[in-house]
Amino acid sequence: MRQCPDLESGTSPLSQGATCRVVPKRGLARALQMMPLLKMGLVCAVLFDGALRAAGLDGFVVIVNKGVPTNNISMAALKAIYTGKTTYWPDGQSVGIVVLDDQITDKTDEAMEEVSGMDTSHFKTFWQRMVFSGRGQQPEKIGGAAALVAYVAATKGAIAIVPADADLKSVQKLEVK
Amino acid sequence: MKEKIKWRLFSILLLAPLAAITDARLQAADLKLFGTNGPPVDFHGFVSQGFLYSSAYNYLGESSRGSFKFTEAALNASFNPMPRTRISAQAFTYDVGEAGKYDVVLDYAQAEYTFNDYFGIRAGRIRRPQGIYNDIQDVDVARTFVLLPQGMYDARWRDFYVSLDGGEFFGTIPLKQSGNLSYEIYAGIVRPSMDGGLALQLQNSLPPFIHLDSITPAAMFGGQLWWNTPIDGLRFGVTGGFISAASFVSTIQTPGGPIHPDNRDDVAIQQYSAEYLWRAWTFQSELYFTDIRPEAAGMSDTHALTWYASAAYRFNKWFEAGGYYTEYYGDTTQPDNSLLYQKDAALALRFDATDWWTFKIEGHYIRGTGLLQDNPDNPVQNDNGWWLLAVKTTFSF
Repeated sequence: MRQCPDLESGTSPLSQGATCRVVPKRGLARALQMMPLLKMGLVCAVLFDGALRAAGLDGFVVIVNKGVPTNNISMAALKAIYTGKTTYWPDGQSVGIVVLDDQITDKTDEAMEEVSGMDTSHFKTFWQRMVFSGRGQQPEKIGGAAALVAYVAATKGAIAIVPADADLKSVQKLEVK
Repeated sequence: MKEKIKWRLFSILLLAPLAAITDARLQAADLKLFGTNGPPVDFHGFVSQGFLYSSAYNYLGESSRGSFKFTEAALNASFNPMPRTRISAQAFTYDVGEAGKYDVVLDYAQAEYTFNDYFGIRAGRIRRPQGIYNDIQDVDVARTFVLLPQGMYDARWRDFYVSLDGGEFFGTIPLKQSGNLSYEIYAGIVRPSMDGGLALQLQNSLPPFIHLDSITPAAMFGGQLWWNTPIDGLRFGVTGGFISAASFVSTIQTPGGPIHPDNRDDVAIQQYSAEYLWRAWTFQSELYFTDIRPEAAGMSDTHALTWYASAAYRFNKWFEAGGYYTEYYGDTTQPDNSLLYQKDAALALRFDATDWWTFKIEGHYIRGTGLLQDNPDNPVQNDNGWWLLAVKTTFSF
C-alpha cells in the first residue's frame, strides 16, 4: 500500500483511488500538511463574505474636503480609514469621518457596510470604543445629504459617503480604485 | 436608604435633559477653545447609574438588599494641535459597592504622534490594552451587557488595571491578502488606589489583626497583537503582560509592637481573544490566565483562569439581546472549590431609547463565590446557585 500524495503537490488524493493509505504525521509536519486546506477555507470564507456584501457603493460616492491631497483611493485604504487604522492624510492633516445621522435608506447602510466591514450598529460601537479609550475621534453625524456636503466642504480633512446625485461642487470627489 | 434612592432618581432625571442639551450644543458647533484659527476641541462623556439585586450574597455592593452603588461618569476632550499629533484626556469617577467612592481620577492624559499607519507613539497616562474590553470596560454604551465577565474585567479593579503612567508604540502592519496586524507595546507604572477594589480584596483577605497600609506602585510592561483577518469583522488577539514586584505594606500588631512586612509578588498575564461581527450578530470568546509568583521563600505560585463565550444580536436600532457563559477559577489546582470558582450564565436585553440614552436589564445565574472577596458581609458561602439582577442606564454624548 502506498502513501497518499502530498496535498502540496496539487494532486487530489481522491484521484489516486481507494488504495492509498494516509500515513499519520506529527507536529509541524502535520500542521504544514493542513496549510493548503486552511488557505482554501480562508479563501472560501472571504469569497462567501464578499458575495454577501456585493451591494458595493452603487449610487454613492466618496467625497473629501478640497484640501485633501488626493483624488483617488483604493477600497483597502478606504476601509483602513473607516476602521480607524488610518487616521491622517499623507500631508499630516487629521482624517475626520462624517456620516449621515440615522442612515436614511438601507442603501446608505449598505454603502457604509461596504467601506467599514461593519453594520451601522457595530460601526457606532466601534467608534465609541475608540473615543472613550483615547484612541480616535468619533465620526461626526450630520442630518441630510446637503448639510453633510456643506460640512465636508467647510471642515479640513473631512471624508464622507453621499448619494451620487447630491450637489458636489463644493467638495472633491474621490475615485475608488 | 430612601434619601439615597431619591437622590439617585433625582440625579438621573437631572442628567437626562442635561445630556440632551449638551449633545445638541456640542453637535451644533465645534468648540473653539483656542480661538477661531485654533484646532477644534472634541468633547465626549457619559454618566451611568446601575442597580444590583441578588438572591444571596453581597456582590459588587450590598446587592442582597438591592444596591444603587453602581455609578460611573467620565468626561473627555481631544484635539490635534499640529499635523499627526493628538492630545486627549479623560476624567473619570466611579462607585461600585465599596470601591471607587466617587474619587475623581485622571483616567488618561496622553499625547500621541503617528508617523504613519505602521508606527506611532503615545505617552502620558494611557489606557492599557488587554483583550476586547479592558481599555473600555467602563464604557457601558459600547457593549450589550451590564456586567462583563467579572473574572476577566472586574468592575472593582479598574483603578489600577485600566490605565498606566508610561508609553506605548502602536501601529498596523498590512499583510496583503491576509488582512493586517495591529499591535500595541506598552510599559509604565500602575498605581492602585487605596479606595479601589484591589485594596479591598487585599484587606478582606488578611486576618483581622493585620491592617493594609499601602499598595506600592509597580512597573508593568506588555503588549497586544490583533490579527484582523481578510474576513470582515473576524479578528483574533493575544495579550501578554508582566507586573514586576507588585507589593503592599501592612501593619501587624504584635506584643513587641507593630511590624510592617512588605509582601512582593510578580504577576504575569496572558489573554487570548476572538471576535466575529457578522451582520447584526456579535460573537466573542476570550481566555485569560493570571500567574501570581510571590517573592517570599516558601510561598507557592497561584494560577487563575477565566474564560467566556458570548453572542449578541441586534434586532433593530432600539433593541439588542445577548448572553454569555463564563467560568472563573481563582486557583486552577482547586477547580472544585466553590469558594475559589464562580460560574456565571447571563442573559441581557439592551434598549437604545435615543442615540444618547441606553437602558439595560440583565439576569445572572451564578454558582460559586470566588469573586465575592471585596465584601466581608458574606459569612456563609456554599456552592448553591444564586441569582443576580443588574439594571443600568447610561447617558452619553
